[in-house]
This record gives sequence, structure tokens and C-alpha cells, in this order.
Amino acid sequence: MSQPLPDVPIEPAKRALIERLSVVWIVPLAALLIALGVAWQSYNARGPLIEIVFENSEGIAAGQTELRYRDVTVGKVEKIGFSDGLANVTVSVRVDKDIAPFIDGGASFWIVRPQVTTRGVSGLGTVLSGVYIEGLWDNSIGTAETRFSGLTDPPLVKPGEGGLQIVLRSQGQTVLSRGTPIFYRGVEVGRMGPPRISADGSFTVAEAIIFEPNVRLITDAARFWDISGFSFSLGAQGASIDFTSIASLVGGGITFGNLVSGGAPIQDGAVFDVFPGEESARASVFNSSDVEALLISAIFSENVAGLTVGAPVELRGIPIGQVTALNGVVDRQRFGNGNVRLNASLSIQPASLGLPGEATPEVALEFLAGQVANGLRIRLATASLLTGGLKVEFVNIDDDIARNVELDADPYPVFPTVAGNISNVSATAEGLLTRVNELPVEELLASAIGFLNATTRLVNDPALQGTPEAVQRVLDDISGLVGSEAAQNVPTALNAALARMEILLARLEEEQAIGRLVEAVDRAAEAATQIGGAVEGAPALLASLNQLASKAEALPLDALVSETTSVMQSARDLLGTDDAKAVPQSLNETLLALNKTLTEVQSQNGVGRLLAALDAATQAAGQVGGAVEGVPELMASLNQLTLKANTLPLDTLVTEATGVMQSAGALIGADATKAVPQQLSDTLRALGAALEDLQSQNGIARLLAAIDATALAAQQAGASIEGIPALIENLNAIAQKANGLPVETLLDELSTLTQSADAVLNTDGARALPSAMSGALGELQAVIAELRAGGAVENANRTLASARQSADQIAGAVQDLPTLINRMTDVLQQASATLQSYDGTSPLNRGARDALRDIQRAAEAVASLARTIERNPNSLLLGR
Amino acid sequence: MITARDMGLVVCRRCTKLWPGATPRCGRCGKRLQSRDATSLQRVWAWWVVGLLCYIPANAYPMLRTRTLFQVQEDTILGGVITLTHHGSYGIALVIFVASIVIPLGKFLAIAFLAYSARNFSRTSNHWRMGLLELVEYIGRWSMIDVFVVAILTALVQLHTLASVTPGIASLFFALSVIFTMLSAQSFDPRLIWDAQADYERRLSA
Repeated sequence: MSQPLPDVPIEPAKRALIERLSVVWIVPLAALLIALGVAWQSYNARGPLIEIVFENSEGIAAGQTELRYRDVTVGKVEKIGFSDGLANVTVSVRVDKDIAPFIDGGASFWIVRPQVTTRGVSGLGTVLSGVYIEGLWDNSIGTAETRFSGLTDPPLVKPGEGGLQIVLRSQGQTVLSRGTPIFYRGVEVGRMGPPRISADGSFTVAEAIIFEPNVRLITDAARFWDISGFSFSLGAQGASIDFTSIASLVGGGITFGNLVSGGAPIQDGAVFDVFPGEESARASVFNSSDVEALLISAIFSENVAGLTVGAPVELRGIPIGQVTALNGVVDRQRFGNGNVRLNASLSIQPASLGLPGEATPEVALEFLAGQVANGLRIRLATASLLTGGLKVEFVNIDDDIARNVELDADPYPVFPTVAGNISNVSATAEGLLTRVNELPVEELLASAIGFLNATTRLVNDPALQGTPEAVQRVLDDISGLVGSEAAQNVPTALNAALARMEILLARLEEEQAIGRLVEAVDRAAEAATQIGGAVEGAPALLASLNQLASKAEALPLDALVSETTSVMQSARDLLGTDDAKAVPQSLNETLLALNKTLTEVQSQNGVGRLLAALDAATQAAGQVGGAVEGVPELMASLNQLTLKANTLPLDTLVTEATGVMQSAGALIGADATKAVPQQLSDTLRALGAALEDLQSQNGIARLLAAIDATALAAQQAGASIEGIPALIENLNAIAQKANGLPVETLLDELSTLTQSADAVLNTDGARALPSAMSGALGELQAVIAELRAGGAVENANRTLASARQSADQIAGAVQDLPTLINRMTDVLQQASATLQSYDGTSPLNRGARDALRDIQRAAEAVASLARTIERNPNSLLLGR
Repeated sequence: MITARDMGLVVCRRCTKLWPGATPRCGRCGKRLQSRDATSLQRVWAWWVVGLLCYIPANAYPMLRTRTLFQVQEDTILGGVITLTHHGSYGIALVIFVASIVIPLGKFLAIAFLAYSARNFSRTSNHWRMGLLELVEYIGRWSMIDVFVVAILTALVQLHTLASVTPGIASLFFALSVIFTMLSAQSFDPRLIWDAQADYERRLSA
């Protein structure tokens, strides 16, 4: 049996501490480490605390307000407190660690608040975000500081910014204010800092900066002046108002200019005066403080009302100084009586005199004293008629007694004066008014009123008022005519025709037509020479004609003119009709047809044939030349005849002519006449159509053949003309005889004839003539139309062929003409002999007159025939 | 009072089945069986320390960052409570004060008291301390109410430039603090409460 074992306390084996520790302890350890690490890091990264002392801390909140450098946040306000004695506010700012070294002694701080000034709004962002502290320091690391005093306003110059710092000084005429811009030629180049009063209290001084690129603009020759607001001055020079711009009017500003050339660059801190205006700035160029003014006195004994301190002193119009003081002086010993005189102190700028070398008061006085010896005097003169202001001027008075400058006078040298040149404005004005008063204004006005009344009556005259309308109507009609489409087309058609002509001419050139033409012209020239010889008697003829003309001039033409005017009126009415307006259209069409015809002519070698005709004409011309030889004598006879005509009583004839014109006017004005244009237009149109037909029917070829025949005829005619000289001789003899005849009676009869013509024109028959003519034209048109319709062109062609045959026959017949002419000559000779024998016998005379009249008529008929043929060769062939 | 240990038994803390004292593993759920958790107090203290460490920045740093048009406002927990009080919202201020300050601090104190009393004598009854532990475990999750408020505000108030609310860094620490406190409370082995009573009585009788 064993004893139960005593109860031995069993102690569990002690495990090592590390074994007993739970793994979970890692977590708090890690947390602790992390926390410590973070704490250390944040402490390490924390920048220093700086203190800025401000007068007040308006808007600054601890923990919110930022410190900014160039608008980048570099710190935050941590605490706001008071400095010792509650004098200032101390703002503690925690600054970023990397920025802190730069904040050294040169740093400056100010509070940015929203500001509204005349120059704009600044710091607007701070309205929402709250104010912030702006700091400025340079970018070099200096000795660290922790306490700064804040500025009340932003500094003018920011470190690191280029610029020239100058000092502006004003004596009080100019208000310097903070932030005032400095302009140069209207561009802002600088800015002014806050002004302060100088130590001695005599100036306001403001620092200013000129920004970098414009620094070179400023030299020691620069002058600054105020352009703020506007200046109004009323002085000796009249009134002037001056302002630079509305901006500077509101916001103010100063500007500067280099008023003299040259000038050396300046350093920071240079001092400039600010002048009230540009004029005073310019004046100051010579008024620099290093040139002392020359002070002199002038004593005037006359009335000097209007002279003021500051009035200009001029030397031949150049301002050289000004009046500085005026005071009375009484000196019985010196002036001989006890009257009060005026002593004016004048300040002269020596530099203004333009003296060579250095301009000092001594030199200037010496110069002026020398001039006084030569007659230079001082006197008062009117500076402004308007204000009555006076000025002081130096003038040369040659005939004044010799006087000198009292150099030793007290306090200034006294210059001699003479009586002033002051215009008495009031007296002059009064005289002027008196004369104006005496003017006969009433009579003048009465006359003027009468004249105006008469003018009014004239202007109101209905006849005068109607005139423009009449003119207007005529112009409208012409305008309508010209403006019609047809009229406008005319040039185009003409142009085409001209082009054709041009081609034809070219062709002519090819055929050496010119050569032949020249030949013909030569001949013609010979003939002309001969004619020239024949014309020698012409001057006398001209003289007689001249007399005739003068006589004609004296005739009562006015009535004729008025009649002509009325005829014109009728003509205008005629023009105004629609029919007249249709004429251009027809003309146009006709031209087109002509154009085509010309084309055809070209294609048919018409030119060649024409040339042959020209040759013949040339020969004929040569013969004409020979035939003309007898003309001079004829001229002489004609001359005598003219002389006789000169003496005739033409007046009555003119009267009769006037009557004829009246009739003609009435005739033109008749309705029937007005119908004529329409007919004409229609006829033209028909003609155009006929031309086209002609063209289509190969009529041109036949025409050309006819031309050939004509050429032949011309040749023969040329031959036949050879006998003409003798004929002319006979004519000459007849003319001489005629010359001897009593023409006066003939003229009487002519006059009667004219009267009869007038009567005839006035008859109803004559009046019916236009309508008849119109009817005839209508018929003509109908005929042409019929011709076209009835194959008439073919007939015409046949007719042309026969015409050609007949032309041939005529040519043959003309060959016999010379003998015929010879016979005529014989007959004329006999007639001449007969006339000679029967000169003066009245029955025979009368018979001869009748015969002459017949011959004349025949001659006219021949002439018109010739013209017709000349103008329209077709008529020879067509019989019209 | 007789404990399971006195009777040579051990309870499975997962499935609550009783086993003989020497059984290494629960025959039902397979959990390792321990009559007493020797490292329990160590873990309690470790989590407690971490939780307290996190609680410091949770109060020092701003909980809520409110940005309006004109300014940015950052509020710590206590600052927010004071602001609300100034605005007259006493109810909300009280809720936040209780949830964010009273309860966390109370939890720290309660856990510290429980852990201390597991080794040393306490006048309080074992049942009261047991109830305290249950209260701490129960109330732990409600401490997150502050974090929820911040999360909801952040989600709701996002008006871009006009106003926006973002969580401050303190909210993260506060959440961590709550988590660590809960872990600390869970690490506590409630059986230690009874052991301490037994030890005391044994020493008293000896």
C-alpha cells in the first residue's frame, strides 16, 4: 500500500516571453511605426513660421488666408495676433519649406483686396475667394528672417522686373496721384507711385517707374507735363481749352517728351519736374534751373491798365521773359515831378536770346545794353484786342534821343521806355458803329424789295414756267427716238456694212485701184490747176459776195427766224410721231439688206469692173480739164453779174421768202405731212425687202454688166466733152451779154414769181400736196410690194438686160454727140451774134430773158439728173 | 460556483458541445478545444491599443470636407457637433456626440476594465461584467453610424461647383478604430471572468 503522493503543486514550465507574446501585437506596433513615420514626415516637411506685421488684418482669416507669390499659393496664415502693446496686428504665416529660404530681408508683403479706381478694377477675384497676402521677394537666397512689416499698398516696382525708377516733382500746380499712368505718345510706358511731401514741404514728390523697353526714351532732356483733366485759360493770348483724351480727362495721366535733341541717359533716382502743361514744359527748356534769369526794370509813365504779372515780354515777337512784378514809384528828383509811375520788373531768360557761348545774365545784360545804345527801347503793346491785355516788347526806335541803361539802379538795371503802341479799341469801334449807322440802309432795302418783287413776278410768269417743260418735251422726244431699239440697232448694221466695205477696199487695193485713182486724181489736179487759173478772178467775186452778204445781213431776218422757229416746232411735232420713230427700224432693215447686197457685189468681182469705170472717168476728167480753159473769162463775167446783183433790192425778196417759210411751216404742220414718215418707213421696209429679193435673184451680176456698159458710155462721153470748151466760150459770151442786160426788171419778176409761189403754196392744192405725196408713197410701196409679189424682179432682170442693150446703143449714139455739140456751138455763136445785134430792143430782150430762164431751168434739171445718177446709179437702170 | 473546468470538461466555443477535459478537438465541428485561451488578454490589449491609436487622428483630423461656392469648410467630429449646436440642431448634435464620442470612449473604457478585472479582483459581480461584455459586443457595430453618415452625405451632396461634401481623412481612421475595438472585444475570453472570481476566492481561503 502506498501512501498517496502528496499534492505537489505543479507549476507549468515558464515559457520565454517571446513565446508567450501573441502575433497580434504586430498590428499595434505597425500602427505605431506608421504614425510616428507620418508625424515625423509632416514635421519635417513643415516650413518655418514667419510673422508679418500689418496695421490691420481686414479680411484675413487664420487657417484660410493664403500667402501668394506671383499668384501661386506658398503658405497659409496660421495665427493672427497682436504685437506688443496692441499697436499692430501680427499675422503668422506658415511658409512652404522650399520657398522659405528666398524670403529674406528684401521681401515685402501686402494684402490684396478688391479695388475700384478710375484706372480700372483690380483684385476682383478676392471678392469671392477672400483677400490674400501677396508677397514679393527676389530669386536669390539671403539671410532668413522671420519678422516682416507689411505694406499698406502694393510696391511700385516688383523685384526682377526691369524698369527705370525716377522721381517726379511737382510744385503743386499738378496733382500727383498714386497709380497715375505715364504716357509717351499716347502709350502707357510707366506708372507713378504714391506721392509724398518733400522734407522741406515745398514739393510733392512721387516715385515713378518707366518699364523696361521704354527706358531709353528718357534722357536728361525729357520734360514731364500733366495731361490730366482739361485746362482752360483766358489770357493775353486769347482763350484756349485743352485736353488730351477722355481717358486722361477721367483717369488723369502725365506724359513726357524729349523737347531738345541730344540728352544723356539717366540713372535710377533722377528727378524731373512735372509741368502743368506742354507749353510750360516747352518753355522750361530754356528755363532750366541752372540758367539764372536776368532781372531788369522798366518805368512807364502812361496808363498801364491791362498789364499783369506774367504778361509776356517779347523781342520782335519772340517771348523772352515775363513780367514778374508791378508797383508804383514816385521820385520827384529823378523824374522832375511827383506823378506816380509804374515800375515793372521783367525777368528775361538769357537763353532765349540765342546768345553764343554760355548764356548768363551778365552776358545778356551786356548784349541788351549794347542794343539800347543802338536804339532798342521798351514799350507797352496790345497783346489781345479781345481782352485788352498788354504785353511788354522790345522795339528799335531809330529817331529817339540817345539813352542808356541805368546799370547801377536799384534793385535792377532800368531800361529806357517809349510811349506805348496801345490800340484804343473803344474809340475805333465807336467810329465804326457811327459809319454803319450812317449807311442808307432803308433806301437799299426798298430797292432790294422792289427788285425782289419784280423777280418774283418774272419767275411766276406762266410762259417762263412753261419753257422748261417745252424743252423737256423736245428732249424726251429725241431721247425716245434715239433710245428706240431700232435706232440702237443701226450702228450694228452700219458696222457690218462697214466691215464689208473694208473687205471691198482691200480688194480695191489688190487691184492697184489706188494707182489708177491717183492717176485720176492727177488728172483732176491738172484740171484743178487750170480751174485755179480760171479762178483768179474769184477774189473780186468774193468781195462782191461779201458786200452782198453785208447787205443780206441788214435784211429783216428776225421775222424769218421766228418763222423758222415755228417750222422747227412743226418739225418737232413731226419727229414726235410714232411713225418717225419707226423710221430707224426700217432704215436698219434696209441697211441689213444693203449689207447683203454688198456681200454679193464683192463675190461678183464688181470691183474690177468698177475699176474699169474709174479709168474711163479718169479720161473724162482729163478732158474736163481741157474743157475748163475758157472758164476765167466766164468768171469775170459772173463777177460783173454779181456786182449787179449786189445792187438789187433784196429786202422785198426776203420778205417774200419769209412768207414762203410761213407757208412751208403750215405745210409741214399739216396732218398729211405728218403721215409722210410712216409712208417713208413703209417704203423703206419695202425697199429693204426688194433689195433682198434682188439679191436672191442674182440681180447684182446684171447690175455689174450694166456698170460695164456705163463705163463704156463714160468713155464715150469723155470723148464727146472735147467739144465743150467752145461751148463754154459761147456761154461766156452769152454771160457778157447778159451782164449788159437790165437785170433789175428780171428781179422784179423774180420777186413776183416768189409771191406767186407763196400764193401757190398757200393754196388748198398745195396743202393737199403732202397727203397726195403720202398717197403717192403709199402707192409706191404698193407697187414695190406688187413687184415683189409678181415676179417683178425677174422682169427687172430682163429689163436690166435691155437697159444694157440700150446703154450700148446710147454709147453708140453718144459717139455722134461731138458733131451735135459742134452744131450747138454754131447755133450759140449765131445766137450771140443775134444778141449783139438786138441788144436793148425790148421785145427781143424779153424773148432772150425767157430763153435764159428756160436754159437755166434745163441746166438745173441736168444738174439734178447728174446728182441723181451720181447718188443712185440704179435709177439709170431701174428707170426711177 | 462550479465551472466546466472544475468538472474536467471543456466546451466547444463554436458548437457549444461539452467534451472531456483532455479532448484536443471537437468531435462534432472539428474546432480545436481549449479550456482557457492563454493569449486572449494579449490580443485584447493589442487590438485595444491599435484602436486607440486610430481614434486619435479620427478626432484630430477633419471628418467632413464641405465645399460651397465661396468657401471650403472642414469639420472634425467635435467641431461638427459644436457647429450643429450653434445652429440649434441639438438632436442631431446629441446623436453624433453619443455615437462618435461617448460610445467609442465607453467601449475603450469597458474593454480596458474587463481585461484588467480578468487578472485582478473586482467588486462587480461576474454577471454584471458578463453583461457589460455582451453590451460592448452588441453596440460595437452601431459605432459605424458616423461613417455611414459621411458616406451618405458624400453620395448625396455632389453639386459640383455649388456645393460638395467629401469624406475627410478622419472618417477612415474612425472606421479603423471601430473595427479594431470590435476585434478587441471579440478577442476577450469571457471564461476569464469566472477564473478571476475563482482565483480570488482561492487566495482568500488560503
